[in-house]
Amino acid sequence: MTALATKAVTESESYRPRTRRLWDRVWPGLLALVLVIGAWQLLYWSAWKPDYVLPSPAEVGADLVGFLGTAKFWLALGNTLTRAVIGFGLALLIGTALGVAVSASKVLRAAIGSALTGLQTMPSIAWFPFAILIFGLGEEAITFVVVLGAAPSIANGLISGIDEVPPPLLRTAKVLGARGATLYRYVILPAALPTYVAGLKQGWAFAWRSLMAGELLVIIASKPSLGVQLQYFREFANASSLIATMVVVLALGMIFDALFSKLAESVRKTRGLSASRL
Amino acid sequence: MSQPSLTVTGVTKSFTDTARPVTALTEVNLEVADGEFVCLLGRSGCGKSTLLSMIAGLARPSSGRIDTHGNRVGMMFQDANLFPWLTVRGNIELALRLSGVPKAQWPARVAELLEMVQLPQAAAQRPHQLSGGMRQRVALARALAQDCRILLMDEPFAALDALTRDALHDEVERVWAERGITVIFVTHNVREAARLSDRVVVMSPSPGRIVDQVEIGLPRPRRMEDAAVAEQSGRLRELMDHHDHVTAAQVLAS
Repeated sequence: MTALATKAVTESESYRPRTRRLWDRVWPGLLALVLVIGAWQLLYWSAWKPDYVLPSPAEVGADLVGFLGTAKFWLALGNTLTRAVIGFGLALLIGTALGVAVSASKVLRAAIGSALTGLQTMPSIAWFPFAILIFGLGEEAITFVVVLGAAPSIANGLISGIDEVPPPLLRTAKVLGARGATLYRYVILPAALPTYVAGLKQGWAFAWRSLMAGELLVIIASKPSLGVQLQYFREFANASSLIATMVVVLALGMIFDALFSKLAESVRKTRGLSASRL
Repeated sequence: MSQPSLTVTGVTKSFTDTARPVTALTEVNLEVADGEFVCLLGRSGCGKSTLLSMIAGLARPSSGRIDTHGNRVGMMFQDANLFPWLTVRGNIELALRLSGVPKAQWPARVAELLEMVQLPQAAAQRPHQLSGGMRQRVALARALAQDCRILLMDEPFAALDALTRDALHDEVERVWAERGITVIFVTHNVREAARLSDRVVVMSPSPGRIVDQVEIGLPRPRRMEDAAVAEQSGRLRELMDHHDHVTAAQVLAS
C-alpha cells in the first residue's frame, strides 16, 4: 500500500519537467520585482522629485553593479555579516539555554516567562541609548542589542515547542523508560524542533533589524559596514548609492529568511507535516 | 492459579483536582497469572484505561497497591504514538536504547522484531508513510523491544477498519503465544474480548469497579466469526447490560 502511495507521488511530480517546476517557483517573485521597478520607473518619469533625490532604477542598478567591484563594499558586507552571525549565534546559545531552563522549572517560568514576552515586544532600537551608556560606542553595544532582540524569540519558540509536545508522545516515552535528561534529549527536544525552528526564523528577523539600527546609531569610525555606508551616502546626498545599499540590505534579509524557511520545511517534511505534496 | 505476574489490591483512584471530585475506580482487586491474556471490558467511564495507566506507572492509585512482581511493563495505545521524527528503525532503536540494550545488538534485534510483526521492509519508512495498521504493528514491535513481560494494550485497534483489526488480532495472539507474555487488553467491544481473552474482567461505571469475571474456555486459534465466539460475546453483552441496569437502579434508589 505504501509502495503504491510513494509511486503515485513520484509520478505526479515527474509529470511536470524540472525546468517547468523551477519556473513555477520563480515567476511570482519576478512578477513582484517587475511591478515594483515598473511603479518606481513611472514615479521617476512623473518627475515628482528631482533626479538627485529619486534616481531611476537603471541608475541604482548601475551603482549596485559598481559596488561589486570595490573592496570597500565587500569589507562593509563582511563586517555586517560577521556581526550578524556573532550576534545571532550568541542569541541562539542564550535563547536555547533560557528556553530549556524556563520550560523545565516552574519557578523560572513564573519569574522569567512573562518577562521574555515583554522583552519581545520592546522595540530593540529603544535599547541603544542605554547600551551605548553601558558599553560605549563599540561592538559590544551592537552585539548586546542584537542578542536582546533575537534571544527572546528563540527562547519563546523553544518554550512553546516544548509546551506543545503532544501528551500521548510523552506518555509513550515514559512507558518506554525515558526520564529526566534522557526524556529531553530523545523525545521532548526533537518533538519541539518545528516550533523551535520557527522561533529561529523570527529571531533572525529581529537580529537583522536590530543590527541595522545599531549600525546606524553606533558608528565606529574605522569600521565600514552596510549601516555606515547608508549614513555616508545620505550625508553626501548620493541617493542612487543609498538606494542600492538598501537593496543589498533587503536582499540579504530575504536570502536568510528563505534559508530558514527551507530548514523549517525540511523539518516538517520528514514528519509528514508538510502541505507541499498537495 | 499459577504464579501471578500482576496483583492489584484494593485500588481506588479519585481525581480531586477537578471542580467536583470524581471517583474513577473503587476497591479494585485483580490477579493476573503469568502468561495469561486478560481483557478489561466495559463502557466508557468505567475506569479501565485509568487502571491500565496505573499498572503502567503513569498514574498513582489514591489508595491500594499495584504489584507487577518486578516484571517489565510495555504499553500500546489507541494511537500508535510513533515518534514522527524517527524512521521505523529509529523508533525501535530508541526503545532498545532506553532499555539499555548494547548498540552492537540493535541491528539484529530490529530485524528480528520487524520480522515478528511482518514488516521487514519498512525499516527506513517514516511513520506518516505507513497505514494505521502498519503503525500499530510498529508500535507492537517497539513495545516488545523493551522485553516486557506484561503488555498493556489500551483499545489499540479501536480506530482501525475491521479487516486490519482481524489481522492484528491474529498477530497479537501469535506474539503472545510465542513469547509467553502476559497481556492486559482494554476494550469496549464484547466480540473482541471473546475473540482474544483467556478471561474477561467486566467493569462498570459510576463509580468504576470490577463487577464480574468470565473465563473464556475456547480453543485457539479463534476467529471473530466463530459461532462459539459469537455465543460468548452474547453472554458478555448480557452481563454488561445486567450490571448497568443494576447500577442504574442503585442510582435511582439513592
